[in-house]
Amino acid sequence: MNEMRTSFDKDSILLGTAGWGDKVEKSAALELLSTFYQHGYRWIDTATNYPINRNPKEYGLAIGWLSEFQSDFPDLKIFVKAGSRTNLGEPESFINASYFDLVFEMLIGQLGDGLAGLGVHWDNNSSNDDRSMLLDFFARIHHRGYQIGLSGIASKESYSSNSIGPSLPWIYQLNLSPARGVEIESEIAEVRKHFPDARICGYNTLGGISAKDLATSPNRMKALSTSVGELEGKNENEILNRIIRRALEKEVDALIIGPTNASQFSQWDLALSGSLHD
Amino acid sequence: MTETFDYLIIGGGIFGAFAAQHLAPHASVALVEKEPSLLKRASKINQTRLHTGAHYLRAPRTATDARKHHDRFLREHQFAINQSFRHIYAIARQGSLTDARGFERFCQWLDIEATQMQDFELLDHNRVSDSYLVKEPAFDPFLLARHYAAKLEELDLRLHLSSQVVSAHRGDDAWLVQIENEKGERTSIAARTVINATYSNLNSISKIFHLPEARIKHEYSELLLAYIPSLADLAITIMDGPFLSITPYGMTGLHVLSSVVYTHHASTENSGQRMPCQIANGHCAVDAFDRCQPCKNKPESSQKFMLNQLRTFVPNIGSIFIHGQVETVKSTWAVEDYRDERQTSIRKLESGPDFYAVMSGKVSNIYELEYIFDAK
Repeated sequence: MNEMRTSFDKDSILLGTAGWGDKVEKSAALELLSTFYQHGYRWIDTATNYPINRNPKEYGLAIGWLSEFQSDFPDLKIFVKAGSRTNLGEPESFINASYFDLVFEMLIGQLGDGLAGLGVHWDNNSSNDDRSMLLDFFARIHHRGYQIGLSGIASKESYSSNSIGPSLPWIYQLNLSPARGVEIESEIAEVRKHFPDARICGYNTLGGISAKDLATSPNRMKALSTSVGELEGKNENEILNRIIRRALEKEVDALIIGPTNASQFSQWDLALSGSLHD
Repeated sequence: MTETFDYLIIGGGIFGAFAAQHLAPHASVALVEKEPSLLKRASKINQTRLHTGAHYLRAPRTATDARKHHDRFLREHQFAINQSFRHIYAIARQGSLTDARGFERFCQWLDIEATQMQDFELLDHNRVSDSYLVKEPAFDPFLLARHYAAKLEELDLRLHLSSQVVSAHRGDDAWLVQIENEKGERTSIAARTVINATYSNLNSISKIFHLPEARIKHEYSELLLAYIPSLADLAITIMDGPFLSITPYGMTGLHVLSSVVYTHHASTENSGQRMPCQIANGHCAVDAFDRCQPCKNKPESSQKFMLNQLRTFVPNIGSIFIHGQVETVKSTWAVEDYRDERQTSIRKLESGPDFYAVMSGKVSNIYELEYIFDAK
């Protein structure tokens, strides 16, 4: 039996950008990215519809910023999730190969060599419709050296009940919210069953709120149920350490972190290297 | 070692792919494409409108060419055709080069059904005098690309992807051509007939073969791709002049916005100067284009102007979610702007060995290639 990992390496950490343009202003995003980069991290997680702030004019703003910042960070690796029609928080998405082919072209135009991967960003269709053309598209871009991913997939079967899907090395994004309890284990088992070569990447590590919020806002914590309750009364450092331990215990392969400013990121960095004391 | 072929097709857009598909069962064929896959550039980056001809009031030859092949293309490419929307042609009150009667007469002449609509609510009727429902579908370029890639895979032909012609000269009964791939490896080919279907790069290939160049105008063009809930089953074209169209982009679910004024940023002719972006890029010649999409030197986007123009004519359009933009060089015959001519041309530039130059911006005109097949 493999021994449990004790830390994440830097290539297993992705800077989340869901709050960019919403909770994180442009200057703070740039400072955050700069600090992240200086600490030796390279991977960014984003989506075509970030920020999900119900402002149609800001659909794609986070990628726009990344495109702008990119020239100062030449070897950044940006993983983009696509498919969501809007940034209104509605679940509808485009799940067809032509859409992904087109978005892939457009992202190459925007991010150039910085584009490191592309994933499905929500597929709420629980039917097992034929997705062979879509899977063929992902197999093709994987062959070209891009990472491929799935996030928010209602039916794993629709991606695995064919000859292509199970054999692909998906980055499978999984909700690690403290509000979720034992269902995380069963979901991980399901993912491993359907996609044996997938790497599991945890997100929503703080349920969209900062460690400070968790430590100081009892109402928010209450709303996030018992597992968060375990964190009650803990300081910010303890919370970060616990989140990382939890991800390691669950044998998650990679982690999307969502600091909203550079100093929060520095705490994360210490926690990830095991140097943050409770 | 030099391999001999009946045909060398240069350019793997829809014209090159269609020619290869038709010639390979009966002859030896090699196809050379600069990109790593087929139908990568102009065949993909366009409005995806399967033209009936209604769009070309000022170019009757272009209109009749489009009309002539529309039904056959539709029939033979059903798998890639989106007909699930209504296409509205609206006539601008000011600045239009036609009026309602002119549009109706033109549609009658082309034998296109154009049904007048009353008070189509999305449009600003202070700016638009009349609107018509015209049956004009969209094609999906990605599905076409898959189709032709699969077809060519089934056939016995030599496909050189990520490769380009670097030198050529005329032998006694064949063209002797050097091809270089992305690794710098060269292959020698002898071809009894060459078909140059490279669209924007047409003249750069003619030059390599020491043949006369055509007078072509090149325009750097930007198209916006958006999800627009209010246009779920609609396309709108504002006629006729410096206006715009917003049409479904194949079967992606997005719409493509193209504006006569703002889509084209810069232009050049083969006899003229390079566009500023070409000069900055360094790899572009006046008649040979690098890919615009990933180019760091492409002009600043006209997105906000295009959107402003759209909202002027379609004020009730509601939310627009921009998913991105695509850029490419569109090429046409260098004629006066008011003529709007985009006609397909297949010219035989040399005989024994033969050399054909194909120039077209309309996918359905692939059937014009049958002129070459018939000649053989």
